[in-house]
Amino acid sequence: MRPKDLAVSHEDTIIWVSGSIGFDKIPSIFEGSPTMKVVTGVIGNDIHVVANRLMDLSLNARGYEVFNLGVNTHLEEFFDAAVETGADILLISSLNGEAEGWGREVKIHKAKYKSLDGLTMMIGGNLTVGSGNADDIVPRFKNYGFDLVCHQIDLNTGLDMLEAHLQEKLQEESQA
Amino acid sequence: MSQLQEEREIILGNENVDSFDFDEVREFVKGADEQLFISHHFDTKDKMLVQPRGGFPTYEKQFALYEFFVDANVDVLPLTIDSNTRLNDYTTAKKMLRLSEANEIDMLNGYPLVNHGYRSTRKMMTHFNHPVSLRHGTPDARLLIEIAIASGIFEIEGGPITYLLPYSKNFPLDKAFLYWKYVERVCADYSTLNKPINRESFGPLTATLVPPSITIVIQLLEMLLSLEEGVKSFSVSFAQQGSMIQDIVTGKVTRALAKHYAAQIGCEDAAIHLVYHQWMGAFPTNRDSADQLINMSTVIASMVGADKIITKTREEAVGIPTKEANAQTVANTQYTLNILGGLPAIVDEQEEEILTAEVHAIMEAVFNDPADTLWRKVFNSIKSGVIDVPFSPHIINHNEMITIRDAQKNIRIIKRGNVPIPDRCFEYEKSCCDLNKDTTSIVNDIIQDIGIMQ
Repeated sequence: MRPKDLAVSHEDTIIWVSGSIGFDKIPSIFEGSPTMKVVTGVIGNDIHVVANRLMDLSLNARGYEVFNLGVNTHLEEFFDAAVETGADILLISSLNGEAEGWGREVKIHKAKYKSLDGLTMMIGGNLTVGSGNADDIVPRFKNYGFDLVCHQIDLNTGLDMLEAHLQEKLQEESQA
Repeated sequence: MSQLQEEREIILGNENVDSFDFDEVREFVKGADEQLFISHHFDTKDKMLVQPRGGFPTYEKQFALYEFFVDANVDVLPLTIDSNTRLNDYTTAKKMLRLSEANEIDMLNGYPLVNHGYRSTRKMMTHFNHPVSLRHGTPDARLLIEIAIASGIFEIEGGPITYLLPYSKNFPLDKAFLYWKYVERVCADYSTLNKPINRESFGPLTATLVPPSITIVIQLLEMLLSLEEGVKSFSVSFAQQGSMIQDIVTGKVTRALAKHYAAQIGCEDAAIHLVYHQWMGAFPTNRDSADQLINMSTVIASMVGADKIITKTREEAVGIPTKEANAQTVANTQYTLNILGGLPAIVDEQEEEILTAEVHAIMEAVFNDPADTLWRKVFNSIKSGVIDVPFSPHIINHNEMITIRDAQKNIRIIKRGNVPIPDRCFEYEKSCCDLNKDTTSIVNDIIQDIGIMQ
């Protein structure tokens, strides 16, 4: 029994951001710089919530400020939330493989907001319906506009990749 | 005309319903064979009733599935409803039913009961003359349960909390309470005509590290919401949790407190049953391992002393099970129940005492909410996080509670959020776990704890 989510409109459907579910904050690894803000959620009609909650917990533990949009989130909502919160990172996840269908529209939506030019874009989870391999999938999603693409990579490895990427970016900015 | 009857006529005036004949349906329920009522089987049978899950789109395939189940000596037949019907999208369900009938491929993941209608479905139910349980997941099940009862389906699963928090992100919870109030009233009304209609709550919730205190509180509240509308037969339920002793303690505390709280609202006369779900979490893909897990669930259900067990299949990890695999589980479960004997009576007074104190504390907080009706108190308690379901996708859920397994695989609360777990109980729960780790290690533990059966 796992019906797709109920697409019923309601006053609660205004952008909702959860508080932290972490229970011990460790200091940001980016000493001296302000806390990084990350918007995350599961794209499309995808109710797979378990990894989303664990991601929330892990991001908090790693010192990020997390705005979790939860499951069944549409692409527009991600960008609206990124603008609203002034996010540094957008981390989209997908379990049922729907991301493939949404990926093509990423650039169009992002281009609507000038303020999103510096946004780090990451996508992870199971990025295709049926079988596929990372060698095909990663370049395809990079073309859609993602800086980091994690197809079937475990949570902590993915978040390590994010950290390395951000440090590199910070260094580039300080040199520029 | 009563307000309920007015509402019923509006609901049944739906364009997908072929002229609902209220008087004829009442006469049918009044004269229905007692074998169709699960409440009758609970009253008269000593054995644990065995019920599988299953629903196919077409009449013929559902009929064939029931033939397999009856051959496997099933006690209770399931009718699982497709996901379009669960979302009240009868138009899509109708289209997909037509496509399923015209081709060999099933275009729906269950039986679209509203589209089939009660006149034809009743023929199937009275043909097999077994009790049937409606399995759905519908927040607004008003039309569905009308058609079900008119078809001879006299057990209705679900509830405003248990069919919403695990399945939906943003269906309004307040509306769900009102839609389910209608369901309770209609069930209560029909229950005066013959044997009672049984209502069953869906205890597994998200089936992901839900602690027994939360499960029991939600079971008790849905029971009370049902009994206060006049339902006379109710099943509380929970799913295998991963630790045998925790299951035994949960079963015992659930039964005792169900009786206690039913008596508090003057409903001692209602019959309360206990239902056990075989493991509802992530299943092993290896079919032989899955069979072993299913068998172990049956043994634990016997230790728990459940009145009914709901089965899984060896194909759980793969997809919708075939009728052959489904019937095989029924036969295997019956076999295990037959050969089990000399079960020891296991008691753990400390665990029982702690769990009972936790449930009482949460229930008290719910009752102390200043709202004027029980459903509003419950609604406010979920909104404020007094009730918090781990891994619920719903926006109203707090997600502040964190649970992990201890070395015995018991589910323990290590962060309580706004849930009023008494201090001494909370200290006990934490003392069972190794918490001298950083959060990343604990997250890794949680991932392991979710997948223990894989």
